[in-house]
Amino acid sequence: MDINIKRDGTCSIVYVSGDVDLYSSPKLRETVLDLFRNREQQKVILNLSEVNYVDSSGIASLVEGLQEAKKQAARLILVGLNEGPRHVLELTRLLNVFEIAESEEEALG
Amino acid sequence: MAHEIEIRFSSDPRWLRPIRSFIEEFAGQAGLGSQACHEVMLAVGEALTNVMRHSYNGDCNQKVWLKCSSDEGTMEIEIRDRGEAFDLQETLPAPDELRPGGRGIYLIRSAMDEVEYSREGDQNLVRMRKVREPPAR
Repeated sequence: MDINIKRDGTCSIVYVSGDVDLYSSPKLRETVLDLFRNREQQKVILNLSEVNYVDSSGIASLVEGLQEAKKQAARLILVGLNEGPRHVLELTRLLNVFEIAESEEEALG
Repeated sequence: MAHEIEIRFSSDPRWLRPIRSFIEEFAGQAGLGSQACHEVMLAVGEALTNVMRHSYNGDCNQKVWLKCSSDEGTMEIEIRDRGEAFDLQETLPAPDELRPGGRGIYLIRSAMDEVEYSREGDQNLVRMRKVREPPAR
């Protein structure tokens, strides 16, 4: 899994590519928590369009990110959800818990 | 035609991705559809994650055994480890609870047609089965 971050003031777009599983999810978790806790980001957009697999540890990282966002009165937005990750969020009944946008433009607006 | 493959590997999460790829390929050759292949891959990934995190408490140097077999459109998977016993009856946290963990077992049960857990001596054994859906008429 690779992560690239584009920051603009208090908004970050995090581009994730590859599988998010037990091996890789700690890196995603640290990245998102760091943006909220240490870099005072008000909005973090996770672009998952290059991610086809997310397991329960990846879901746990997303949930922790959302918890932290709420704590900081900030927003975590998911963009570009492919079928696999969307299916896992549906199965775990979390699809409506996350803020989901159809495009980066929508998430930025 | 029946097929069977058995592999042994260390309990290191770096092996999850290649093993998932192998499982997806095996499920495809067993005649499962693409959705079912993805579900089997998800279930095996979650079951192995459970072994690595809970049975072996994150110790990457233990052994895990995986056996796949297919016959007449049914795929069976057995996963064995020599770690601590675990509970396969976990329930899904309520969505508004926002608890990070506790969803892996639920995903396994959602993805497979049958899931059994037993403790045999010093081993955990998880058996999972996926049945190919009959072609639409």
